[in-house]
Amino acid sequence: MRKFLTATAVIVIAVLSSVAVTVGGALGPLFNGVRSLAEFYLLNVFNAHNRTLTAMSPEAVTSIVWDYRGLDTLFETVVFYMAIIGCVALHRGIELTKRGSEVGLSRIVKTVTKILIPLNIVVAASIALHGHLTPGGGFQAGAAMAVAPIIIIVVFSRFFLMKRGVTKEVALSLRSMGLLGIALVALIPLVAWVTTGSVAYVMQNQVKTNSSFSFPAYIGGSLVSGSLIWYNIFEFLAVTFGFTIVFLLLSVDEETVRKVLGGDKHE
Amino acid sequence: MVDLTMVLLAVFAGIALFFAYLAISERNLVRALIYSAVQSSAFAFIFYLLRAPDIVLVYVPISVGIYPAAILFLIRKTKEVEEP
Amino acid sequence: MVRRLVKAVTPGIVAFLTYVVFSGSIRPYDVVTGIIVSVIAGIITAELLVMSPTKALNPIRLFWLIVYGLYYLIIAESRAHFDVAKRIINPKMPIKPGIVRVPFSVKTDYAITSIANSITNTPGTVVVDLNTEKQVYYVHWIDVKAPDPRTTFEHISKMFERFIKKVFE
Repeated sequence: MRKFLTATAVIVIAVLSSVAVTVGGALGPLFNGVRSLAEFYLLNVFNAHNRTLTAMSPEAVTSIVWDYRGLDTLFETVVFYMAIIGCVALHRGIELTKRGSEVGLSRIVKTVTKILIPLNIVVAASIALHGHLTPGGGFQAGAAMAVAPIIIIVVFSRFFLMKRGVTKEVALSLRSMGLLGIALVALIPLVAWVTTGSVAYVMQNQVKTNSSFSFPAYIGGSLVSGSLIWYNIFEFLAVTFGFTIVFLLLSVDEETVRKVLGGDKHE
Repeated sequence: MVDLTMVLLAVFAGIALFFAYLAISERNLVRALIYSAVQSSAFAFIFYLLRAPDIVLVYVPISVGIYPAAILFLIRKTKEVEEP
Repeated sequence: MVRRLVKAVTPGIVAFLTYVVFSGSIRPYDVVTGIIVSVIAGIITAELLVMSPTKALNPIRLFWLIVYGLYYLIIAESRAHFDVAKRIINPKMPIKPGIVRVPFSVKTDYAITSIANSITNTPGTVVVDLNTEKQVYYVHWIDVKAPDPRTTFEHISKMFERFIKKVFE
């Protein structure tokens, strides 16, 4: 009976929402072609002739994420780190012991995992370092990179990771370095404001009509899209180690957590 | 209007719906989690078909790596079978 | 430290190739960032992946690896596929499934893993578990000829082990 009810509910919701989308036009009229807003971005993201509006990056999404709508992304990042700080705060007082049994899964699984780790690192780094050229970017790369510590924790053990230096403290400081890097890149234009006296904006990337400050769009002849590559690299660092902290904390066994967080029995 | 993209979208949406139902009705939480991960993978394909490669790149590691791992850790902290 | 750098060569090269293939371009930017990233990845994983650097860079072992790859993909795989396909098409379904012990005599992790994965990848046989102290795999076999270790070794992993020993041991 329960299964029948669930199935009916799922089907009814699916049919209703598809009717709403297709016949009812719940998402607005279907539009084939390019909207005028999209046209603006497509014209301007990589436009050397219109330097005051361009982000100097052929990747429209990354340009919007870190340049045109940079502050939105900054606050989004802050929300993500508030969640991680919340997780760390909840696990306060829990000592992550460095020694313990390193049984893990079978030797075959361990060997295959070992081989995959360097490949995982370079694929994630490639996503981060090409974030301003092809689809990808800091968060995507961080999520891909975070898979490595997770499979190590599952296949080997938490102690395997911590003995080799990836402790909670190291991960926390690397994550903070990433966040600090993002903040510094956002504030570098102000250095220009202080030193030269010309107008500059927070999170500015290329020149604006009343501001001559600009991050270098090319380094040694290679396109780096000004500040975008730096944001991507630091976000990559921060997201990777943010996830690592959460998984290090989640892998502590429940009894240890209860002992610390359980408190006294309420009368 | 019926082109291959639409057909594939319908197929993957159907797969996602089926596995969503399985995930809801399954009492064993680990199995429910695997169904849910399959559903997320179908969503990743849908994002690809909707031409959002940026979302796909973040959705694949999240849906097949981080999300199941996080929930598995949480299941280990509770019981494996949901009580009625 | 120098030893670690030498060890890092092989994983570094593999990492660099993966980086270039995944990026899909080989302009100066990709080469420079690729070298930086693969040096870092190689140094991080060197101790984990490479036991003896001379072994990893030995061209004779690489040659045997290629020979083994050709043998495996062309002969072993197709033989196993034909065998299983025949069993599927045959209306009598002549299968006799069971889990048998298959002994092995290699020591290193890579050799154990390669033989196990070679067995699993050929249709009809799947490694279910292994015991490194007793040096046996537990293999699920679609057509158990006989359960004694010599028969199973002869039928399942003899050729794999002969090549793998040349590559990894």
